[in-house]
Amino acid sequence: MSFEGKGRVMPDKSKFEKLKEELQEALEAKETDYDRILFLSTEIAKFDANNVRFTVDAGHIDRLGKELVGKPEIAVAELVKNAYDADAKEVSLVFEQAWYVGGKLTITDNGTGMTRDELINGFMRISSADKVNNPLSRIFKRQRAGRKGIGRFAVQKLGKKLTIITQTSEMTEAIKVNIDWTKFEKNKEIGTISSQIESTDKLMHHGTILVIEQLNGSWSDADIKRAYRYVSKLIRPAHFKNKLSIENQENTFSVSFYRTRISEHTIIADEQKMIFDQALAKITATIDAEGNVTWGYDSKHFGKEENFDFFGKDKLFDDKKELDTYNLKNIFLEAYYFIPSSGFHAKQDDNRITELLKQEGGIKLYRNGFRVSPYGDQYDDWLGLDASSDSRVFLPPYANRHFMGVVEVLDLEGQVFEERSSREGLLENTSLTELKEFIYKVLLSVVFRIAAKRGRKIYTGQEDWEPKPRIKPHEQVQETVMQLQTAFSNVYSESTPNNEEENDTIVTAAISNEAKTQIDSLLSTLNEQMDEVRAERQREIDEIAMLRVLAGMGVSIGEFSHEVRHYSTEFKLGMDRLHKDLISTQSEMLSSQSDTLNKNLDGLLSYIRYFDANIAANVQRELCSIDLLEQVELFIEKMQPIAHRQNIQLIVEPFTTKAYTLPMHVSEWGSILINLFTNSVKAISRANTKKRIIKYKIGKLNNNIYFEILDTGDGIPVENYSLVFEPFFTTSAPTTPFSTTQQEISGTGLGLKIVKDIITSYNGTISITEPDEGFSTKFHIEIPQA
Amino acid sequence: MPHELIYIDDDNVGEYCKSLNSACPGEINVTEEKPLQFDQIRELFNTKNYAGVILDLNLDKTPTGELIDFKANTVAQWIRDKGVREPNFDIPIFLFSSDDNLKASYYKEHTAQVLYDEVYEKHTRLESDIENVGKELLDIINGYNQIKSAKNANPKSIKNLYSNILNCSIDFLDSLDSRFIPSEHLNLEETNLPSFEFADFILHEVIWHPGILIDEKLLAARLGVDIELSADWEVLRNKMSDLFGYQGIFGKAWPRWWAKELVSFWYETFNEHLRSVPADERIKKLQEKFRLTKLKSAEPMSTRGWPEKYKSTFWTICEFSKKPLDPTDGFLVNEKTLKVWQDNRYFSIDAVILKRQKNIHPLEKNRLLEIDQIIDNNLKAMSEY
Repeated sequence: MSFEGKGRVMPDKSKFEKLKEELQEALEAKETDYDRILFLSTEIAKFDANNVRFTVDAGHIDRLGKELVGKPEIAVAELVKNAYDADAKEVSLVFEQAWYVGGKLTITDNGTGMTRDELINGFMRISSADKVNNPLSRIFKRQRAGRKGIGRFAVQKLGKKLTIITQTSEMTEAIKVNIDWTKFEKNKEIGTISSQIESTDKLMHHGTILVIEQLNGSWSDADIKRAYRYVSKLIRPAHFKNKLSIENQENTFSVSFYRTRISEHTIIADEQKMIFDQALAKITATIDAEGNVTWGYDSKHFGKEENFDFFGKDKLFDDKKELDTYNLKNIFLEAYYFIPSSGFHAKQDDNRITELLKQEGGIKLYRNGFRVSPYGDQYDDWLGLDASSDSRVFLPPYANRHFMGVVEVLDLEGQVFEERSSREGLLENTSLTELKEFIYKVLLSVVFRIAAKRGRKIYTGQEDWEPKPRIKPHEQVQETVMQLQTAFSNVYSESTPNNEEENDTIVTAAISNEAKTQIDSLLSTLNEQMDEVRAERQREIDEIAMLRVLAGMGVSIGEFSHEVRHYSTEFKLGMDRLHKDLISTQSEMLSSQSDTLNKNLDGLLSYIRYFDANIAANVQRELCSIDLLEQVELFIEKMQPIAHRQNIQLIVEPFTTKAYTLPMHVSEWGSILINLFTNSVKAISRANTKKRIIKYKIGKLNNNIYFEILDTGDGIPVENYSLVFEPFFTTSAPTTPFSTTQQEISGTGLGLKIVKDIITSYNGTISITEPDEGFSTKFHIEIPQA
Repeated sequence: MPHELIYIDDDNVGEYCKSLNSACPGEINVTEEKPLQFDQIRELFNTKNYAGVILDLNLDKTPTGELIDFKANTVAQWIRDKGVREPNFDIPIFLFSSDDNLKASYYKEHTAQVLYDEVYEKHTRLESDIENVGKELLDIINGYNQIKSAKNANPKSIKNLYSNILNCSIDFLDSLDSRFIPSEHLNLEETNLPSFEFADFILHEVIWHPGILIDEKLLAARLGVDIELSADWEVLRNKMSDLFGYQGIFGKAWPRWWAKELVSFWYETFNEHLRSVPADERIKKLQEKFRLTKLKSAEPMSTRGWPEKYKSTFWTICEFSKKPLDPTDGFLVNEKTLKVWQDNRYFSIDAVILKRQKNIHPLEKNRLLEIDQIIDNNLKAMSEY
């Protein structure tokens, strides 16, 4: 069965013949028109009755460029990758007039460059298999980043015109190709669009320059930064100075972004670089090709140190392995150390730095110039910094969010630090373990050193720790006063009457004798006041020391009276049974002794109960208006057994029903009442009288609540009325110069001082006044009412 | 054989046990046990019958340090549930706890409060009065046993049962407020309720709340006697007991007198209504009737700054000072629920105004403000400033 005459369209014979003739002419012409020959042969091939061929529409380029690379920064990254694959060590990207659409981008790399063949069979060939066939770069054996051979069409995305100038070190001239992407229109056969190729003078020893003109988009600083960030995720950031470029160690790669306005190149600062100036210290460590180790830090605040030996390091690292004994080579660490909110950098940058460190903090690993994931990614803790820091064994901050840095390893053969086949990370071998240890130790050594210099503790319970001496504020003021004096005396000497030159008359006029006297007097007043401040301060220090002792004692009493409750009940129960048994013996002596014992125990238990309740009241921190009548009633109820034992009568005489004080702590009234009560009890027992009464009077006076306690004790001599409120004044046993603090406190000398402090802190008053008829002492307290 | 009590507490409570046991020698035997996990506690009760249980509120930990995540309330509820069907579990439960723990949880919700027959605070009541506590435990255990035998005697009616356990005639019960018994238990079937139900009612509503019964202080107040100053009080009290003392359950640990019978006695003896007789006249008549010379009438209270004299027609006591009081000289105490046959309780003016007792009935607030103002003005006038 034949389709002839039915399905097959017979070629137009005359057109076919005409094309053949035209091709013949074109082949024979003196000037070969390649485009025309290609076009004619393609057209002739369409008359092949037995075969069909795929053809590529030129518009495909447009689709490749646009669909492969969605964003301009990815396009730029693709081109940087190409440079890397070409064994370039440096790539620069210069944006010219790029603020607006139509600008120019020049990408220059110092890679191997391309020969004419390589250009035609490599660069100009779509989906070239070159990178698949040769996965490692020629010189540095880099793992070539580009794989599909189509990344170059990214340039089409960027701009309308591309000029390639490439040269190898062997070539004497460079090759220049101009590609006009606008010619790649739809409905045109791709092979028939030619781009001009020419030889030109070499612009560099070797390398490739891509000039992209008529940029499709505008490039703001933010756009460029974005492109930079994208690229810097792939390669070691340029601002980390590359120390590995020592001899024979040339496999490095850096990218710089510039912007040109008129003729000047301006580096577009990236965020990271901006904050490095604010770092507390820059930490570096190098292990060179011979295995020599250098490490140390450089800090604006704490100077510079290298390979230092620091005290206590044997305590800090378990394995005791010294930093110079690691079996590593070609390692370079550069890290910036930050302690946000510590006052080492500008406050306004605090949030930004903290935020950036949160995202970008950590030590990133670069192998032969290329980033190895996931080391140093957000949430990655390959050095164990977060884990160790969280354990809070060491106190200074050293989590990942306190560093921003890179560690670079040079391993051209790829044998020391082997990549996993998945390209995600390195094999966990001895070298990697050693590297982790080394970096961890370097970082911590510096962190601890800086902590020591800041006067901070490194670990809890550190014995050799001494806080950094601090210049006290009053000493600073003193210093300033002295400087002021010197400054003034300089002014005087310059304006002495002996010097009568014209230009000094203004100064002389400004500082008249009157003013001079005034300044002198002010300065001397200032000096006197400074002395007073110092004395006042000393008093305060003494008082704080005392309060600290008292607070400690208070805590102990609280603990004691609470804990002792467990025993008190058992004690009391045992005592009761014993008492019962002793009474049953019918021995008068035994039962009377046991009776006394029982009463004493009751007294003790009342005290314990009172203190326990009082301490429990301390738990309530809020201030509240105190019903003084209620407080006194409650107090008396608790103290009744003690008073009873001492045969003392307690009387309350209210002179108002509304004795509400301004907001205070309940426990403060507890302190006031117990101090005054014990004073009275002691005074009564010293007086040894028959009339044993303590009386409380509570009333209102103007806008105050008054509270009086009267007793029938031995009284206080008038000359001591004001002295009793002084610390350490006591009527019972005078403190001697040899008495200890403990004695001073327990010797009652502080009770009234504390009472007075509480009352005066609420703008109240306490005084000893003329006692009522029949009483020997009267304390009068006034406190503002609610 | 002494009654066996088990006391579960994580603290060492050996001293409590000894003191409780020596309070009622040969009658109770309290044994200390450490808290255990629930299964083990259940085992403990299944292997031995106890006459009563003492629980520490916070059981906390087993002796081996395992945490216990339930409180005494859980054990108590379990016992109450079992007690409905099993007489061995129909027993009194006592709570011993520190005041801190009671405040921290027990007083904060009321559902657990009905589980226990009585709650004792460790550092106050148990420390100072453990001998009487021991007697109370014994009396409650005995009371439970009396209820059980009364139930087992197949009473014809609920009144029969009550006449048995309250130890009074049915006629007498009938003479009381008609709402007293029916208000609680209506029919014969309810004699099948667990003993706890009866014990709870009698303890909380009859013994511990004045109304049907009155205690010694109230008896003395109504008789106008000052207990402290009357050497013959004991004699008089015993005579009153002979005449109308309460002889029912729980009456040993909590001596009580029939309130109604006191009024009847006075009316029958002196042909007058006791309520309106001043204290000194009451004393005079008692002295004559019983030939007791050492009786002294109680003095009415006084309040600094309060111009009125307290009346001596005592009928109640001040709940703060426990001194005799005519209710018109007091403020009504605020009580959540009061049965119609129960008496109101009062604080004296003194307790409220000067001793700061605050739990008074809301209806008394305005009166309080008025009296407070009068006293305040008078007190200020007394001040020397």
